[in-house]
Amino acid sequence: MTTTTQALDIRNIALLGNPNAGKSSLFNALTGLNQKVGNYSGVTIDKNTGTWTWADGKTVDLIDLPGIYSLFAKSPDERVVLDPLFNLENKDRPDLILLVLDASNLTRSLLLLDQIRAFNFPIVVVLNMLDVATNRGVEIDLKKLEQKLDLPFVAINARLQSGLDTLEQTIQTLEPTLNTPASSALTEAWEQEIHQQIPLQNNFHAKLLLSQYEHLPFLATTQKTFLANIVHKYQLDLIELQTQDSQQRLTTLNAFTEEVASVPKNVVTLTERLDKVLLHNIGGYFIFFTILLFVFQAIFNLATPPMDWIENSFTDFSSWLATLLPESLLTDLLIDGIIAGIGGIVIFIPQIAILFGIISILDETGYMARVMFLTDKTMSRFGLNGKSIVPLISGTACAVPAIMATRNITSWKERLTTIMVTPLMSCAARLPVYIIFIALVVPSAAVFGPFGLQSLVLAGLYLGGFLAALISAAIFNKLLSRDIPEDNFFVMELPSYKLPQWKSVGITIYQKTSDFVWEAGKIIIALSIILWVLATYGPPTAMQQAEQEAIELYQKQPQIAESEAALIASKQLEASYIGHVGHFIEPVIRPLGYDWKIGIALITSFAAREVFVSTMATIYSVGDPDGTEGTLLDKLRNEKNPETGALVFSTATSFSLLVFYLFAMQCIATLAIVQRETKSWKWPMIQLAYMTALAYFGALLTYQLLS
Amino acid sequence: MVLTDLNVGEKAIIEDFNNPQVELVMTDMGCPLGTTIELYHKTLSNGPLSIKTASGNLLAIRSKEAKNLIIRKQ
Repeated sequence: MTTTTQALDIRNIALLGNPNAGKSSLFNALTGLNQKVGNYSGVTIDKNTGTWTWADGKTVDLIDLPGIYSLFAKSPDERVVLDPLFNLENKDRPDLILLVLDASNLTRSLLLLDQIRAFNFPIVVVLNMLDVATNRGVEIDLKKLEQKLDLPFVAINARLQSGLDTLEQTIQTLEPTLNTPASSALTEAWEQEIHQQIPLQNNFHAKLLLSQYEHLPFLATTQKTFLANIVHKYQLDLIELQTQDSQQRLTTLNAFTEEVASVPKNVVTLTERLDKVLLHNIGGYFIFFTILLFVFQAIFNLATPPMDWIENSFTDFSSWLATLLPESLLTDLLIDGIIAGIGGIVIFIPQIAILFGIISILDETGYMARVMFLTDKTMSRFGLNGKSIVPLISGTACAVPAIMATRNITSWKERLTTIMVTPLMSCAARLPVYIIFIALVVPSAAVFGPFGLQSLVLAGLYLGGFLAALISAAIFNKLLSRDIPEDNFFVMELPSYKLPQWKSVGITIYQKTSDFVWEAGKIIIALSIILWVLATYGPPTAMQQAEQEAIELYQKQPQIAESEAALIASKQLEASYIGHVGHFIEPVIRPLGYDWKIGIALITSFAAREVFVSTMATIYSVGDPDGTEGTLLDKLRNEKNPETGALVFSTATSFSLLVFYLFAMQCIATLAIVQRETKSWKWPMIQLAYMTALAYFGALLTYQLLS
Repeated sequence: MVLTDLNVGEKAIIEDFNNPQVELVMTDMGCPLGTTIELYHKTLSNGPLSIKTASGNLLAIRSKEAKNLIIRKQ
């Protein structure tokens, strides 16, 4: 572990500090909107980088590392901090570390500084949260603190953006004297043995390497095996090793803090007064459910106008393009394959943006941590964690960002369980399917005062998804207990309440939405194109025959379709490859009450569930599916089985379909994200299998009971 | 005496975590052995509870772990 001495030409600055120390506020204040989100190499954790422009016009790259308490990282999002520190080849390796100290938690944040000093990076210490410290009655002797730290030091207020000029000047005038790490001798035999293979500067490096080597991507396999052998050979208790190291540091640092700061006074802070209400054993839950209700209300109501606008814009754009471009397969591919695919992604942006906007506000204020605290007991009964509440709520918009939101769950078992059950939450893509079948079979009569029967059925579906998620979680928890050791514990900080910072709310909205657009988007578009090919092409003679039949049929009975073109589209879809698949799977889905036409729609749903509606529109030759929901509804309502003359969409079939869509894993994008987050195909395959089984047997039971 | 025996507002010193992993996490969060804590809030039916450390931090911990956490009441 040798690091080279560099002249202080600063291009790359890393921000490091405890969670809730105001690190991100500082990052936002310094970079403004000059930010971009990338990935850390090899892992899928968001990396926030930005450009900080100095008064003299110079620009430096700023990277906002995840907030951590200690370099002894415990979860994937904490571990990404280690690579830029250890790995000399890392392209994010900073020329300077800005370490944010939390004035209201001096000893604890000094722990991280103390650890960082074991690396020879230039460090500038930034003291933030002095106002919170003052509220707690803590007085800090800044002069003395700076003197004792013996590092460049700036006090700031990140929220009010004060002290930033001084910070800039301090960095500009930094002398190229490096922080030389306290080179503690390698006293232990195992430290020396590691040193022979992997050069170490001090014993903290040895402890870090040993406790984290499995997760350090830059280590070669031989080095990892070597370190594993060391652990085995010396029978090292790695947990104890880390605890003792931190404990020793804290003892020294406590004495340090006592010298520079007064002890907190016994004052009742605003946070404590708010907690009396928000954590109240009855009132607290009541407030939580009220907020939850508001969140769902917002997702549905606030998102409707922009969603309608997007839908109309895409329809208008498609028809405009259709008039402009020559009639050809390529035009078809562009309009029905690519643009329809993009439209299917963009339509969900409003709901996702609103949901993550609200979640981010709740998180910024410190309330989300209280929600996790309040719900942990209920969640843990089902093998989940209080932190599972965010993925589960997010799942009502889209499972893709929801599954990415499980990363801060430290227990692998609880995280995996959360990932496995989150797709059972009814996402936005299921809603169009719910709406059409509820409209089809549930009378719009009002019952129970203001609540209509239809909205009660809809609410029931959402509740059903949530209960299915909880029950499945309990089962997974039992099954996983055999393979994964109990490592579940729940320790988290309840941060002080503060007002949300709108800039960071905006940044979160942007990040989550772009996560969804890029991660889910590319898969949905690819699949839309494949499905378009399968639905457009078929055995050539069969396709021609279908067209001929349709033309003849339309001449005889023009009333059965909206137009000749619509009838041709319908007949050709039947003759296409996808039509063949629909016929092929008919025996399997017949017991659920579905015919081959529904079979086709089930298959096309794999790009995105809402495609079901437009596929049905094509099959029933409604023509342009957009804006013709009423027509489609009439078509479906009157559709009769050609042999028996019975209604195809009976109450039994419709409810069977609702149950099927409630449980089925019809989303390739989600499966791909699960694969990436669990780093194995095993889990997405199990997920596909159990959800399909749940959907199939659930629908079977529903159909057989109702018919 | 263990942490769950404490009433809201009472203070105690942590003597033993009886769970190495919890001990590591709490230590790194600035709450090692020997820290004086105050019980801040208890949730219903054996849910998690939260403590206030000497510096005014609020930490939440499950009662399952709190039952093993040995304290000396002050």
